[in-house]
Amino acid sequence: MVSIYYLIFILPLIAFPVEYLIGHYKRRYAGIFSSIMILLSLIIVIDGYLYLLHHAYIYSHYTWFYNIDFGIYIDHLTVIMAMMVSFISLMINLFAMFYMKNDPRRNIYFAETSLFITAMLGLVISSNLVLFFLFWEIVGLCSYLLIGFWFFKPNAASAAKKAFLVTRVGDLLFIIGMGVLYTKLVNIKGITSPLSIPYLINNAHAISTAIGPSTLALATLLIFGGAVAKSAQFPLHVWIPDAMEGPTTVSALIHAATMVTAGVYLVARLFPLFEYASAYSLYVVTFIGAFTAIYAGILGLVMNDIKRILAYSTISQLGYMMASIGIAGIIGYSGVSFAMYHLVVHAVFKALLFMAAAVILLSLLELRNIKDMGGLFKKMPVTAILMLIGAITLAAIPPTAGYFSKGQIISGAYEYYTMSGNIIPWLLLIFGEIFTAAYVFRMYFLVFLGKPRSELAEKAKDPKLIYLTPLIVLAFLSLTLGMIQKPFYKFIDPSVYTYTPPLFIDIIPVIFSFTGIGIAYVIYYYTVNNKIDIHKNIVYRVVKNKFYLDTLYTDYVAERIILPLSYIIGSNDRKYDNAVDEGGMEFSKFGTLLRKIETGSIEYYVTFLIIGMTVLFIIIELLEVIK
Amino acid sequence: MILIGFLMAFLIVTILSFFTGKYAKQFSLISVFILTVIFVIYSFLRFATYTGGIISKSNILLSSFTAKGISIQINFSTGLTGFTDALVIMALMVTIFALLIGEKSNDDTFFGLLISVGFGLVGLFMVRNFLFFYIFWEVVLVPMFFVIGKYGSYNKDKISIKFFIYTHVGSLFLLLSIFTLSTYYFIKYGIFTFQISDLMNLAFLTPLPKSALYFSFFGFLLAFLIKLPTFPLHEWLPNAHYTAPYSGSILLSGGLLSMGGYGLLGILYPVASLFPVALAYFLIALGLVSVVYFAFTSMFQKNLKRMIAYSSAGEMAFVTIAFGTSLLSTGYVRTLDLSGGMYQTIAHAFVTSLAFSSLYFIYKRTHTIQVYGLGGLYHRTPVASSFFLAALLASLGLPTLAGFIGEFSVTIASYQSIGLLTLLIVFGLIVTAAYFIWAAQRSLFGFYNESLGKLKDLDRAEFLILFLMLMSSIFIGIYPTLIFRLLSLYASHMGGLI
Repeated sequence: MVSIYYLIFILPLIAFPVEYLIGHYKRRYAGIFSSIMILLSLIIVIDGYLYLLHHAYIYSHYTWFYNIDFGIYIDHLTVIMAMMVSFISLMINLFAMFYMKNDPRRNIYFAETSLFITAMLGLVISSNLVLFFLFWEIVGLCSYLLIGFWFFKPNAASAAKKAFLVTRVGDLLFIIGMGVLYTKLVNIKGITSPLSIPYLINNAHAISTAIGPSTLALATLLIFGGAVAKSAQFPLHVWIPDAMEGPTTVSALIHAATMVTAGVYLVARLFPLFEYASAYSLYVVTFIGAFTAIYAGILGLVMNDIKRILAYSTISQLGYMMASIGIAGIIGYSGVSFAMYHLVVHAVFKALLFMAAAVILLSLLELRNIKDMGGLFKKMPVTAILMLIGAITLAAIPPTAGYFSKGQIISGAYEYYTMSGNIIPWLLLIFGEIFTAAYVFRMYFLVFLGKPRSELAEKAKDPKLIYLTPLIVLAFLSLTLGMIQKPFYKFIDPSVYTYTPPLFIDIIPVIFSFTGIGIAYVIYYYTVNNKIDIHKNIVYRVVKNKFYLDTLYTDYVAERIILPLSYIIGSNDRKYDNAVDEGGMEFSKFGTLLRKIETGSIEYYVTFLIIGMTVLFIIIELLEVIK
Repeated sequence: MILIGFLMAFLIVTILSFFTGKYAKQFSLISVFILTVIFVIYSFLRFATYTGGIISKSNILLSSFTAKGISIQINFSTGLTGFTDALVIMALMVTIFALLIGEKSNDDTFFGLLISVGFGLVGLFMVRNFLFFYIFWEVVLVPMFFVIGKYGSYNKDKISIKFFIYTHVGSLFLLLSIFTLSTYYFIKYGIFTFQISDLMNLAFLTPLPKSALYFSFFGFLLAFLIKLPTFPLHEWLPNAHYTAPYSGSILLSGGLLSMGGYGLLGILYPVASLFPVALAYFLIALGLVSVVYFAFTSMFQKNLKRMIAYSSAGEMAFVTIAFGTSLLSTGYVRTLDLSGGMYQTIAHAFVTSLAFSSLYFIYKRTHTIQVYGLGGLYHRTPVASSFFLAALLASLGLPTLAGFIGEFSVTIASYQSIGLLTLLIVFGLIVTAAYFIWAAQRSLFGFYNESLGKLKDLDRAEFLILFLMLMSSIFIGIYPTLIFRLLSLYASHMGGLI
């Protein structure tokens, strides 16, 4: 029987063509249909949640091709993720109806976001890695299309290209990872579908003994490569800040709340494989996550573009999630539930922050430099308060949800230290906390305090309250989600986590957050009053240029290696082509030489004919004799 | 017998279409469409219970001579495997696409030649006799030569001759190999025959002297690798594409290239277990080099048509890789590898049809296909640009579009035999993605190039043509099992080197 839960991603898929057509003919109604479809999909997800309260999983599958099947697999982890995706998508879609009000290509925007939500939900509930990969690429495609939504801006087109290519690097590593798993598993007896997710996660131990932990570690690290690109972890994070060229609702939906968390979700989904692989596999995950958390935090401190600051913040928070999954290798499965909880909380407050930024940008006509803002607290008080709620949640000030979710990860990292003796992840994460508070409040102070520093900022004002409803809902959630912390952990990981760290471990993050806010105020003070000029400072310049990593990729790898290589190979191909032509010409000259035999007089031909036939007959006679 | 009847009907249609005057396009389209529908229904009925091997065999003895224990037999025999069935449907579809794109202002000879190519392809995939295999091989080549030479653009005389001679060298070696094998068969059994089932037979080939065996393998490989084309043997392709009319380009890459794929995987693979291991590695190396090489050469091209031509050769490199790696792999992996290679052969035709057709409609408006001559096309022709973008994405192997299933299967299965060398494939694919996305950025997005003047978007008929192609591409991409089942059933009966 076809499961009703397929509708979770089929409903938004219907909205894809319908939205395009509705918006094409009746522009005013764009966005309504897709919102309804997402709402229905959310209802079905909630139904699945209620079902899963008493059951372990929902699984339905059919053959897709050869021994690879397609279908849905929903368990506790999945349903949480699906609920988050459909809920946040609904909020952002409702807000987008206001945000995109004046855009002439609204129908395309809503059609593409519907396709994106389809693919995102499909990715979450798919039961096979190959199907997962299919949706994984479609979300990448939608991200490409939506970053380049304002295609006439050259910046947007090149940012879209960068996003597509960088994630593509990871995607192809992911393919090889699947290749390792598939080729090693398929010839083992009794395995009908080697890449099916329930099979992989329920038999991880058997798989590890069958193919060896180091092979499994290779596979998991290659798959993790895909997650690194998608979730913008350290060496492949360069695409997200550029991706901010798209509409802000796209940034909120794709590059903050949903798509970029797909990488974290992938690692969480396949956690048993990581767990039973060689230990260095999860150590890499931990280290890359923790390093990204602090690295992106440092970069966020020097950016002046409001959306880019939020983008670096996203990268940094994703690093926290990755690290949390990584430490789960030592402290047990609870690490995954910490990561998922932070993922949900992050989606809520980051969507809130981005939408608040969208309100500001709408009012300021896409002026994104925070140094040109200032004094907006008086001009747009509601937005200011909403953004403040988002900011304190991000900075993990108690009693917001962020405090509970991030604090737990940090104390988990401390337990990791006590159990493994490795303190590096904890140090990276805890110092990341200072930077987090510092960059977000630097942004907040520069945007909202003081006096307006540009004409546009002076004219800014709040939109009607009705348009801000989705933001208010999210703000309410950011403040209250902390209450469900324990039930949430229990839902994902039934074995309750019981570690109680020393008291100072719980207090240090709070102190660090407040320190960060203090630092932010100092920076704000000096920036506004132009007290010191740090532009010449070498450290500032290195950080401002993002540690020259972007330069390395675009100026060196792309322009000094790939393009010259293509030039060399391409021009040599031309030469080779000409050489072939010349060889042909030489050959035809040889033909001209032979033409001299062809005199055209019949006597010659008859002579040649007779000679030839004589030779032939002699050969035949000789053959007869030999026989 | 049905297949022979089908071929006869197709032959009649082909001949008739040369004399239909101004109704050439309608006549050829409708008749090929009817033939396609008939064949699709037939194969649905016939292949519902397919379990592998050759079915629908039929055999007509055209002439035979027997005396003193010596006999000469010439048969016209046909048969279908899961692979050839899919190939025939693909050839018919590609012919329809080519006809749809054909300018109505062309004369009936043009459409007749296009149909002839289609007829040659269908015949080639159906026959099970080397004599007729060779005849159909040439039936494809000769009309294609005229399509390029007569209806081509720049420098058509020189390039069409180059195309003909280049591919004909391969054909001659093919003929030599066929004669070598049948002579040895005659020496051994006293029967002079060209039946594929007799000549491509392990029991017959295994005791042959190595020199003869390797010579005939060399001939086959040369012919098929030129058609595919693989890295050092590709020079005919970009030029031919550059000059050919767009219908011709569709048939070139959709039809002629898949002949190479069919030759490798359909004709040669069943006896490839006699290959020396070094040859398998050599072929894998050729495939890997081709993927990377064609990716880089495509990136260098300024002309979009040449770029797509090179990239289509790059896509076919997966067939070479599948051929080589599946020789070295075992069990399910080999089946997946082989079926992936076959699927790639078929899917590639749909992808390039979409790419060339959408490029054609852009060319019709802008009269240029130089990357730098275009720019910001999305402003004026959003629908045409969307289709072109979809074609580029399909060419780079995006899932849900046709190219993905084959490339994916080959890539993951090749891990078993070549290990982390798959990173080379992946590197090629990244470069491929890079130049396609780059081309899209430069030609479709950004500022509008005002020198193009005012452009009109697609009209309804053009939209429907491209929509049909896109839908068939998506269908192949998301519902592969219909074809993949046949391919894997066929492939699971074949052996490898190990």
